[in-house]
Amino acid sequence: MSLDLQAVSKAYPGRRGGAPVQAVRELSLAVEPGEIVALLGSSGCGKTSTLRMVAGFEAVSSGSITLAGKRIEALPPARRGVAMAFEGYALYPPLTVRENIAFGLGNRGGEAGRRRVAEVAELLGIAPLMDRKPAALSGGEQQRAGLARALVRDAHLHLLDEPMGQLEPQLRAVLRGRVKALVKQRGLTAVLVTHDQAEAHAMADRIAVMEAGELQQFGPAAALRDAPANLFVATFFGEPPMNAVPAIAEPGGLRLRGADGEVAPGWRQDLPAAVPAPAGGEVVLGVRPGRLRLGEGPWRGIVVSNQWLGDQAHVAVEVCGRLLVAVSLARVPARVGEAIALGLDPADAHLFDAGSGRALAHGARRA
Amino acid sequence: MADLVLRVLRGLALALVLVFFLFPIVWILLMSFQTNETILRLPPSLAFDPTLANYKALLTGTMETSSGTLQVTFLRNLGNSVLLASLSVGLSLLLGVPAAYAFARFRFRLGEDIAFTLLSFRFAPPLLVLLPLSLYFNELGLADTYAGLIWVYQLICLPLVLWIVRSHFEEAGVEVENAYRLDGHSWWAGFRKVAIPLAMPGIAAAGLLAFIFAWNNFVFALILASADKQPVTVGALAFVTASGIQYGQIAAAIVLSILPTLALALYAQRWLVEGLSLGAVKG
Amino acid sequence: MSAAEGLLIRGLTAAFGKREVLRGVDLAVAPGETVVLFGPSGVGKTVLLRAVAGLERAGGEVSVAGREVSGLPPEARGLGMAFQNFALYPHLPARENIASPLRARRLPEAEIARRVGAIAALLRIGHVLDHAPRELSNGQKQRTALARALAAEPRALLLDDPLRNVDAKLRYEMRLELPRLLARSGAAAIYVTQDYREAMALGQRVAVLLDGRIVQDAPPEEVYDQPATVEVARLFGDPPINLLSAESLPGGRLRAAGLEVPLPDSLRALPPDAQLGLRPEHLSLLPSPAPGAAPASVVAVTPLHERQVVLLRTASGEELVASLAGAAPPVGAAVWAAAEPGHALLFAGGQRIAHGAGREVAAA
Repeated sequence: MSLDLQAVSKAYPGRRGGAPVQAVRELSLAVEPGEIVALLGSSGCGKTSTLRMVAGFEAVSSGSITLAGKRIEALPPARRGVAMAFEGYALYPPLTVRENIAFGLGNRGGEAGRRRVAEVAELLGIAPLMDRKPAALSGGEQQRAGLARALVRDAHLHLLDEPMGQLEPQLRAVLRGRVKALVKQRGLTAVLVTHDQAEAHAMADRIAVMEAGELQQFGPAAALRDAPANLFVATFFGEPPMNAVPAIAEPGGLRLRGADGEVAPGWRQDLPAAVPAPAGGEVVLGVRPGRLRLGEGPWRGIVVSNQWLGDQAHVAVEVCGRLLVAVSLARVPARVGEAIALGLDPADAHLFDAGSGRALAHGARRA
Repeated sequence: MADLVLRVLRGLALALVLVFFLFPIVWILLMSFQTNETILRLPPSLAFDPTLANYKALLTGTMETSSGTLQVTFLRNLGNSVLLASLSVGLSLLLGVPAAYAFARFRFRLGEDIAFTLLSFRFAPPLLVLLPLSLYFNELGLADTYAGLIWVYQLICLPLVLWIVRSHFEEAGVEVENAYRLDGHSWWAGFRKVAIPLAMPGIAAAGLLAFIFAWNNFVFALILASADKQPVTVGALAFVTASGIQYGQIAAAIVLSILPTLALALYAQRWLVEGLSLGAVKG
Repeated sequence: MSAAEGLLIRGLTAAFGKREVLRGVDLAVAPGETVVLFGPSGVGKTVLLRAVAGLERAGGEVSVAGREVSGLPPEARGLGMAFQNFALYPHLPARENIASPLRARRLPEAEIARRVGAIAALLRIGHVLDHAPRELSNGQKQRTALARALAAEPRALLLDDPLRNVDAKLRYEMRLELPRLLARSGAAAIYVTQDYREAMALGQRVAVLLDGRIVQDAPPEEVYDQPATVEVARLFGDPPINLLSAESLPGGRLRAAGLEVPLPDSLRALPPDAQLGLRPEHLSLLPSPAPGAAPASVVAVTPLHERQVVLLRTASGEELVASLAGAAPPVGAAVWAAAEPGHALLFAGGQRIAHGAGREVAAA
């Protein structure tokens, strides 16, 4: 069902009479029915407070939360119609895995409930563990049991708090796919809270990037990648992160700054289209590592490292003291220590206001 | 509006708790400025002429009672208390801190059993050990000596120091000491320069607590020491005289005797809470 | 330079009670070389480092720069070590943390100041030298810990997963900077990690520790392309390798999960427990049937970094994971999955018996 957050704020009283701490500021977010949305951010960004307000473990300071057409911000957690997978698993120790998973179904489950429990357990690969107690499981297995308990439930909304962080890496790819397929097939609406952008990217239809209690950008991964709203999103989303070089805008292009902050002689980037530069012309040029071109272009640098990771190459090049990273899905014939030409297609350039970080322009190219 | 009501209610509840806990202390303080007559009148009243006679009696060492003049050894008792508590704590830190380190860092045979045995001294009623102890002490010539009392006080201080400081050593972790050794410093240097400073809040808290517990001890000193070695807790008994109980002097003695520990506790409150809460969480 | 002048580990054993953690580990690291010690968590990587450092009781021999150190206490081994949790001295400012190994060597005050300044500049923490560790960001803490390990210019360096606790941005930065820093230090370095990408990025060699032994010690690409065992193959790669039970077909071919690839020349037939290993990036998805391709349907698409990870279910019911550089087909689409035979790996009894079907065969 649809979830609608309108100007939701959360302030915690300050310590010892200090100013209150704003954990979440004026967050507005609409999740469509059947959609998977990820709340992505580092610890302390406000994503967990948001989740706890939606679940009902935390009162909102202001704003409204509407789920399936009903205001829920004043309801107790049990009456909100929300199923949740907890980061700390929160399994009941005296119950077996099976009883834990079936717990939320109560007596309503019946035969159909038993079948669903078995299905989800099979899907998450914990079917052989069903008669064990949580204490006899590894962290990853407990996490899968906790996830299963949330997924078997019928609810308006499924909240998944770091649901796969403890999973054995070898299982992650397959389980992500299976869980995503299950959620889609049953038409569940899910909000996933995570600090791991790979998980958000893999699972979510849209991603809400949060930082310092504020929503930075909300959109599909492609939009975050191709049109980041500000410098924070640009350098946070994407692995490795976007290269960012401070520069001064002038007619026809940019003059780039070296590591010392001074304009480096001869380091320029032509930009055909006029750039809406702020007064003073202080901007930041951003370019995705996957878009930096090696072996051609007007810039000159020294190869600092060339790392082949099996399915992609990461090459670091030092230009005027700045380390730029290029990613290629094929091997790059560049040796460490040698000089290399590099550059970028203006269509791959992103420009940001150096002061506010706000995006000024994005190149036309899309992946 | 609801906020205001809540605040008022919370204030009232807090006041109630304060009155309950502070009343005895306030009453003692008031008693210490009264004569026996005003203390004992019925019904009790808050109106009286304050007198410093009680304090004067304690400090000058002579007490006028209806049956004559009595010698009071209060100042000597106070001195005994300071001496016994400080030396006991000093000794228990000297023994307890290295022991706590050993229990925190090394696994050895019977290690946990020994640590628990030491703690169990705190569970046993002192009376359990007093009878055999007083016999031993007479045998060994330790009865009625400061050394003997300090030794017995280790039953109070050592377990405290051991368990509180141990949890601090455990909390600080062995990794930083390992790092220090890999830097090229000896184990002993690491113990002094890293382990001890990091456990300092715990050591301070344990020392303070041990001091207060030692100061407040009554029964060991009552049985094992004679008048000239007795601390204030026992000394206050002197005011239960043949001619009656000198409530005023008792109150004044109590006020004077709690002053040092109270001052110490207030001064080190932050450390105490910090040092002890870790022990409570981790212990 | 040879490993004799660097760090040499021979027959290292360690046990916790009855449990043998290390069962005879040999490892040689030349000066200026970085060897990554890789393995899943709990496999004993840290135990190995601690044994080398002298913090753990162990059997076997360790020599640093030609000097046998096995019997010596940690402080006499002349090693630098960086810990996973940084292990900074919380009561000392960053400057004194870094100076600690120099003070232990009783260098003159001016020399200490000079060296601390130099290493701090190199690691770009010169501006926070007077801060206490709790005032430092995670990245600064980690750099301070590295500076301390490097300060006394040790001949051997032990780095215990130093990037584990820093955020992604910093991790990439350090991944790119570290090789230069380590090469410059000239120390023989063992770098512990459980992130295979970090292992490939930082190691001139990767030593895979499993079940108390080094099961493979080779350049990173070799470990990736020719893993010695199924376990190594599973640990290297994200998404992980597809492992499918294989059977031989007439005409020098083999089949697994409906996929067909040529049998390696050297193999006439497959052992009964043979497994075909196919990395997700070596699977391609075709829109129409092709010889050797397995019909499958798309179950889910979960993008990873620059790639599209596609979970497939074959007509025969097996799951396959493909990792595509280009666009992924929509969920529910019918596709044909084809393997690049040159990258196929064959395992039997857990050991690799061949790689690159139709080509050369490894010594089984």
